[in-house]
Amino acid sequence: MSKELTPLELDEMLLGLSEGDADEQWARLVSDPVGDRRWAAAVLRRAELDALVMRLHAHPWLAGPLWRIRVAARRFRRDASAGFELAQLGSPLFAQLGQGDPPLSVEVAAGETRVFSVAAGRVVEVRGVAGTVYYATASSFGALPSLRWKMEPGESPVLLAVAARAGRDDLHDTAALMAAIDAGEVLAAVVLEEALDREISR
Amino acid sequence: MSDSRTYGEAEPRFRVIDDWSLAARAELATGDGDQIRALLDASFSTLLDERDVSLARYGFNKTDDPVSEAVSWCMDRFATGDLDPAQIDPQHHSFRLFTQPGFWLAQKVGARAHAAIRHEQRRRVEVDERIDAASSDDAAEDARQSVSTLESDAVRTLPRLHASTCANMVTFWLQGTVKIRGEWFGWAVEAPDPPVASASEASKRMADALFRFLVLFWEMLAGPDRALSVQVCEASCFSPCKNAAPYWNDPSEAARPLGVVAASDAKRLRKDGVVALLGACVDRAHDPGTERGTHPRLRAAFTRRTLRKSLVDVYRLGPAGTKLFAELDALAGEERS
Repeated sequence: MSKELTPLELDEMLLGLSEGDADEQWARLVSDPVGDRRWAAAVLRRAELDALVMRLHAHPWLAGPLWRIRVAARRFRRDASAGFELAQLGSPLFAQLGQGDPPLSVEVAAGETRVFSVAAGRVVEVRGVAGTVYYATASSFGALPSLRWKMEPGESPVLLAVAARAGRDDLHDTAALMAAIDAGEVLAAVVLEEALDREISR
Repeated sequence: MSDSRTYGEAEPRFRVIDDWSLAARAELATGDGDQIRALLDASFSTLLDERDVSLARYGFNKTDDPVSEAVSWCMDRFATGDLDPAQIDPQHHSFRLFTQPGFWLAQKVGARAHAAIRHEQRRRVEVDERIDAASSDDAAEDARQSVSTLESDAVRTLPRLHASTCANMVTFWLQGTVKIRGEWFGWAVEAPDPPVASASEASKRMADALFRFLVLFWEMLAGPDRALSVQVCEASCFSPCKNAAPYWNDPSEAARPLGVVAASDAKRLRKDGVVALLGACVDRAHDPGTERGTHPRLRAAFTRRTLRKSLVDVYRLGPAGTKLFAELDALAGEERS
């Protein structure tokens, strides 16, 4: 029984970096009953990593918080279920246009740093948290007592960070946020990016 | 058609690293350290499953956070180590290099040790291993050999499909051949997942991937005397493209270097090229000849089974396309009788 292709091997096949191993790797892909799903998952992983390279290049200020949250998640080994819910409040008009609308709410696990695409004008709401929610953009930082963020054109990306406990409401800037992350005081964060208009397909 | 095509060629450019001197790298590491660490951390976490290859095997076993150890080591290596850009794939002379754990692991232990670590948990198996080896009957042996030859040719063609188009074409081909590959390798075929898009969209994508695979499988683009229509089709459908619908290069743009100026001409030529190639595939389904590998009947059957009618809709082939599929149906009828 041949061993299943690993994420790293699949990534190298995708990028044409397999060199001497290539023939054997493609044979394993073709003979794998779920090869199509494995390959598709690999394509998605590489697309997300490439998107991260571009995103951090365009918005370097995101790198510090995102990296620190990953490290803190491993160090503080939070129960993954201790996360929060991110909900999108849609207007009926947008719902009707629905071209593959994203789900209206998602669970964000502790330690995650996921990216969500939000159309300008839509509002997202953080639910199920006890701690203070902070927002950060390239030029602003603050607490978000309303727990709601409306995506305005041009502000993207926006980082929403959730403190692990109530009372941690004294952070004033991104540097303070990063110190709090290092101290295990931040549960998780999400990045909101403005959704671009879809091209009408030919 | 480029053999050295790699995924991402048609994608946006990454932040370039063009100065590989120690001073320049040290400056990047200081000024953009968080960016580099974020990328290294995300890629080591995402691409290295601890069940498959443990970071401890690479010496990252001094703390209970091997990913952070690896990230630190890579940062240090980049900032102070001996890195020769000539040894690094040109597509990675950019910040994308920080999403390549394989590169950094090879830096840590050397290329040979890195390859050995990856191989040590894997037994090499023959492609036709799953076929029942108990039978020693000559006919059965023949059957094994023939399927095995067809399989190996298919295995060689798939990376060519990837290099000639894009990553999702491979997905569609794998989806479209689940049943056939199950027969080759002896697995029970589960019901496929319902496609994300509508059924007809998914079946069109599969039909397209299966068709393009056949064109490469039968080497139909080789040789110098190809009609202009086939050349336009090649530039549009058999050259690296964006990994998104419609999964080809715009015919007008593709045809311009061939001297075709009018968009309507380009579209018509490409359609004609597809019809010509499809006709050649139908011919092979009928009479594959023997110059292209042994066991022609199996190759013919494989060809017939992977030509799907929705291809007519993909390329708007009209009556010319419908006629060819009618021929194919007649052929299948003959075989059954």
